[in-house]
Amino acid sequence: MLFVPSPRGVRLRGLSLCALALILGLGCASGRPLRVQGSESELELISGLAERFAAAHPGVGVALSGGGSAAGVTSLIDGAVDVATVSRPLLPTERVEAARRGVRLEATPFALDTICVVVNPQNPVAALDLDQLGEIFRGETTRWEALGGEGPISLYGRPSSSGTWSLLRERIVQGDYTPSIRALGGSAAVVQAVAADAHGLGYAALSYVRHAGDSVRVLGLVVRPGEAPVDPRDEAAAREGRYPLTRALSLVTLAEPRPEVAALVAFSRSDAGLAMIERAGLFALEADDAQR
Amino acid sequence: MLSAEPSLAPPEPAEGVRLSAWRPPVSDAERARRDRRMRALVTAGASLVGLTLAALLIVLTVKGLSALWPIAPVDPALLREAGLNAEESARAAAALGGWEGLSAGLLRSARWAPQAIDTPSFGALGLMRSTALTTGLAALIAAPVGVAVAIYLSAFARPMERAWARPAIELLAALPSVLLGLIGVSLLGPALARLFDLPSGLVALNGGLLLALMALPTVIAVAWEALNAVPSTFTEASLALGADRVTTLWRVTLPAAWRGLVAASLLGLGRALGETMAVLMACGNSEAPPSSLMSPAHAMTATLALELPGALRDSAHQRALFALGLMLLTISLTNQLVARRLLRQRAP
Repeated sequence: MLFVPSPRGVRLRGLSLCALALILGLGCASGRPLRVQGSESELELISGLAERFAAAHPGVGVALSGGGSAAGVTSLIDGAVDVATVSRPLLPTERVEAARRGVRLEATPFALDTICVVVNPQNPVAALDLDQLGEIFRGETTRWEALGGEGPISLYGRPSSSGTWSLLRERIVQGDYTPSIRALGGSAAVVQAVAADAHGLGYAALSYVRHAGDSVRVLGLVVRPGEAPVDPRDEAAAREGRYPLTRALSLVTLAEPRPEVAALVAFSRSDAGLAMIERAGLFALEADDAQR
Repeated sequence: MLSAEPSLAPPEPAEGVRLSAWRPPVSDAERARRDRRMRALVTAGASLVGLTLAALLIVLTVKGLSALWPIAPVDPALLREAGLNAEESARAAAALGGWEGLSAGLLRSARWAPQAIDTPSFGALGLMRSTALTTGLAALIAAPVGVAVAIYLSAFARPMERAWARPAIELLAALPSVLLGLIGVSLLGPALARLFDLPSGLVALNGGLLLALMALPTVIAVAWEALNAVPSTFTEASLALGADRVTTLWRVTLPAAWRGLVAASLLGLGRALGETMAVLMACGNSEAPPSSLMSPAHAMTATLALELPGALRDSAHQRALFALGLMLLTISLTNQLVARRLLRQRAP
């Protein structure tokens, strides 16, 4: 008696089988999804872009994950993803690794971004020059008093897999970061931590700083002594390369990618892509921009 | 249950029972075939689990031990092929090759600086200290609190409270760790910063408290079971001799259940040891080793999560991370085995 199925049971089982078939069917119908991995700074922009792309290309799914620019490039070289989103030039180690494994990488820049240096709104310091910034991140300056504020400086940054981390090191730190800097998972976490810490200083990608509103203050950077500080939100300064932490965000693929991958890269530079870039608060890349 | 001659007519349904899906009985051969098919399916599932576990252990061990072997210098032809200038070549060559193996560092140095420009260093002592600090604090809190809760539930709680306690504990166990991490970042962190006058609440203490919360359900559940396993004749005899409930607890129940209670604490510790997301979000992850509970910590699990995705295959960095993973596995397996052993050797 126990196992006699009731009509209701039969119907339920039928329904769940149908649902399972539907899910499997949907999974298969979209074919192999485009796998995109990389920069946390670009994550928000790319997810918007991927959504639009998928809507415009029925049957093509996009699977997106973060982990940092280095994670994207590593996975691309390993053949685990189709596109790496990268917020810095390819590193020498990555180029050697690609050569060793016999793959050719192709980077397509599609947007301009700036790395913002942010402090707590209570902090009186309005601008820093590049030497001061380097000293702070190398751990040579540890207190705000030397810069016109007060208290110890607490530093917030990103892990070494982050493109933002390696670009800032290349251009400003030019040495090793102080080991006391905290490494947080993403720009949003950095902004949140600096907003909660009166002595905090951190770096974050532009779009996340724009979201933060007044909870953090963006520092202008003095490039040469005596000049006015340059603000990272200033579009002209970014385009002309006057802001020193300006970078191109790019999509990296293997040379001669399959058609859907090429379509995604082309989409990032189409009018629809440009609109997404502007909406995210970044700058669309133009031909005469100073960035590589 | 079975009649000698299977009837092919549907049986008379009892009052109120519908038998619309009734099928005539099947032959013995068909039944045996079905049994075989089902058994094959279930066996396949079970062996899949076993094989996965074995493969995992083998890969982790091999990759973890590969950190001990040296890596040959990079072929200069590759550097040319990659189109690097002199300075880039030097840096790439230093980062990718000429590695002498981990014997010189992992367990002797506290400097974890895997991507340092000139002298990458893979000392794990600081990471181990971070993990010891956060999980140690978690165990120190979760063990007494969890055992106390279990004692209350098994000895003093009303049936109504017991009925509510189990789902509540299960709910706590089911909380996603990213959610706890979020609590650590946005509630606990600022509260700790205010309380202890710290610049930031992203410190080892924050992670330790979150881990205690995550270990608590495990400790309570296992300790509760251990206490319930003490035969009621023990307590009844003690009460009949005129001992009060507290004396009975201290002199009879706890001595009889101590193995289970220690095992409960160890399993709670194991839960905290493997936790990643919450400590990653709440501890700050500085490369500098923590000097106290009030300084940022960089737990081994968080290091793996942050750095493994970006480490090039077979690079020194990736090998060091796998060695770290192997260490973590060894610690937590040992812990688990000791706990299981204690649980098996229950008092008679």
